[in-house]
Amino acid sequence: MKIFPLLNKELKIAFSSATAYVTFTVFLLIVGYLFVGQSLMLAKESFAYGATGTSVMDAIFRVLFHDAAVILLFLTPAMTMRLLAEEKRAGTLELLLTYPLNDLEIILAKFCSAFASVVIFLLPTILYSIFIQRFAPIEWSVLATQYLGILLLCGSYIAVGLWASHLTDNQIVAATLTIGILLGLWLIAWIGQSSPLASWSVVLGQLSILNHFDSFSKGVLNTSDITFYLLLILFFLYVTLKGLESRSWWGRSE
Amino acid sequence: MVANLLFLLGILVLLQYLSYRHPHEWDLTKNKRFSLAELSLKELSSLRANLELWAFVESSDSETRDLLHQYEIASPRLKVHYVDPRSEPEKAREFGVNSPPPVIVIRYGKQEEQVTEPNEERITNALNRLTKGSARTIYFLQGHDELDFSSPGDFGYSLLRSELLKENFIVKSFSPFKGEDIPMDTSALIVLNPRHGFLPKEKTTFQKYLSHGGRVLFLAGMDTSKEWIDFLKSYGIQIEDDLVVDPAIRVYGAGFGILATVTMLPHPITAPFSGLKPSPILFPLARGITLEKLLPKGMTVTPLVTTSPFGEAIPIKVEEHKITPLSKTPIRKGAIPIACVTAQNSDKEKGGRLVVFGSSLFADNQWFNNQATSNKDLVLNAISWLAESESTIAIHPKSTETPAFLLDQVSIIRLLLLSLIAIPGLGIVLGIATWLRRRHL
Repeated sequence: MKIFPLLNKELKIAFSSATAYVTFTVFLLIVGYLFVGQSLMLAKESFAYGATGTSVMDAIFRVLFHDAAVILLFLTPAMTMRLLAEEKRAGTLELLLTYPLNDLEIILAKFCSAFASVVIFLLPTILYSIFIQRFAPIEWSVLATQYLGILLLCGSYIAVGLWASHLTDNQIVAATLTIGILLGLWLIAWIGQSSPLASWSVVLGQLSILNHFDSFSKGVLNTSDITFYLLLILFFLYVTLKGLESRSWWGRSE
Repeated sequence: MVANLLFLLGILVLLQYLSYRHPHEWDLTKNKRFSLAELSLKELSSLRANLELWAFVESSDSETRDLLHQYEIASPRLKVHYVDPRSEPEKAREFGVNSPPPVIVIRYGKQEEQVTEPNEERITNALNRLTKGSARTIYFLQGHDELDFSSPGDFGYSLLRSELLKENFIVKSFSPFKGEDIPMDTSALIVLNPRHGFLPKEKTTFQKYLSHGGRVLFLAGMDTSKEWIDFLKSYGIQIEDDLVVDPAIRVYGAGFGILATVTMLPHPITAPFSGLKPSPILFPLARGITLEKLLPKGMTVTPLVTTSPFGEAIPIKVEEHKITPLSKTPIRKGAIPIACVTAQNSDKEKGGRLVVFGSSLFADNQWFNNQATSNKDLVLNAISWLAESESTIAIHPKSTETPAFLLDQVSIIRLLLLSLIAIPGLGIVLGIATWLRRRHL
């Protein structure tokens, strides 16, 4: 695949900056704190009432994955803000566009590098399930579904972030715009809940990026949720591609 | 460019809409806890006409909406209409909804039923009532010192009774002292370990009932009256004076007299268990059954549940409430039947059915709701089969069987070290390593 050299370069750049390690540590610290909190809460309930009948998958991991989804909503823009905005600021975007890669391959390489970063972020969290398995049975199929869900969700975050990053040469503007859009896509369900029309609440609920994560967090695979994330990724990658293709626009802006 | 984008957006929205309208779901949890129970699915698959659910739920009530969505996915014949009662009070008035939300109104043809505080059980039972017409009646036989079907104590059967009510049965008691016939509306008659015999007149009543398509569930105990044992013998079922044990399968913590069975023989009652690894069925103080070989014409007796091939029957003597083993040497060995079914073909359209269990305690309050066993499923399936409503036979939903999650001091320290020091420390160590490497470049 032609995108691998660029992908490799992107990952090297990402993990040579302090931003990646600070984000990585902060993410694991917050998720670790929440994991301890959930585990101690369940242990306390079990001690007081005996077997509570709640699976650790529901009592610990479902809650943890929901929390991680919200934390990543704020941290993913830190990974994506640089992707195209930095190239524009440094004036290397035109150079990049002269690579023996087409625009789609450049976008895919950028997307995959950010996606690989998220995978690296999530890898250490597998240790939580290995720890818990000593005390309670882990439903591995449920855990796999939860990881699949969070990867699809992060894929959507990255696609939005990549699009925002191509609009500007200012990384802070790109990150703020990404967080704004993602928060909007999350909170739209709340607007739906207070809507007087039931049908609107269903429509707005369907547009909410985190609502679709709920079935994954339970260990349920729903085709409608999978297609939502895939189509969202597809849409934002497409509009980024179209933006990159209109080179004359870039020329005017610089 | 803008037109292209709008066109693409339109296509994507259409695709998502189609995906939302025709979703497929796979519940990957071990006990399928986020799917409708088998019972509900069976009920939905037996729908012959369209059904409308008017859901008076608040927009924020995602739990009820998710549940109703499951029903929608499961049957194309079912349509859910959502109404927010706060914004459309006139609709609530039209349907006569006065209770606070959530309330579901189910319409099936011209019939209608309201379900308040809806959950899966209530909705499915309402569907059952609407689609199956009038409720069926279960009678508990009284007057022969039977075990108390309404007592909430450990040895009572109030949990079985309330479960039958939940499953849409009408539950009544019946004493045939005056020689009257067993009521015409009887779907099944349950006899719980009668410790007194019956009058000759009553015997004729029972024989007549069975020969005219009657349905009887008989739970025998250690002290069941001899007259009843002889009565069952005439239907090909000999209940022995022994205690059945299975040294090969002992459940940890269960006493010597508590038999755990695993062998269920093919029958509509046991069919829902096939292909699954069900929880064990525990029979406290079970008597073995011998199937008579010489049977009247048109009668068949089949075993339902047996011990493993290593089962043993120990001879016993029952005096008042005391059980004494007569010998340590078993009088019988092998797969000993604990439950069996007699089916009788009569001149009438329906043949009589008699299901006999060698233990009466297995369905009492102490064992009925025990999450670790499938006792409840077996007894409810038997009653459903007798009452000939096989669509209600299913494994009944269970909560997650999870052991207590207990952490000791050492484990808590390890948990803190792993989650707050070791794993986040990985980021710091890698960051410093990268920084040092770059400094030396």
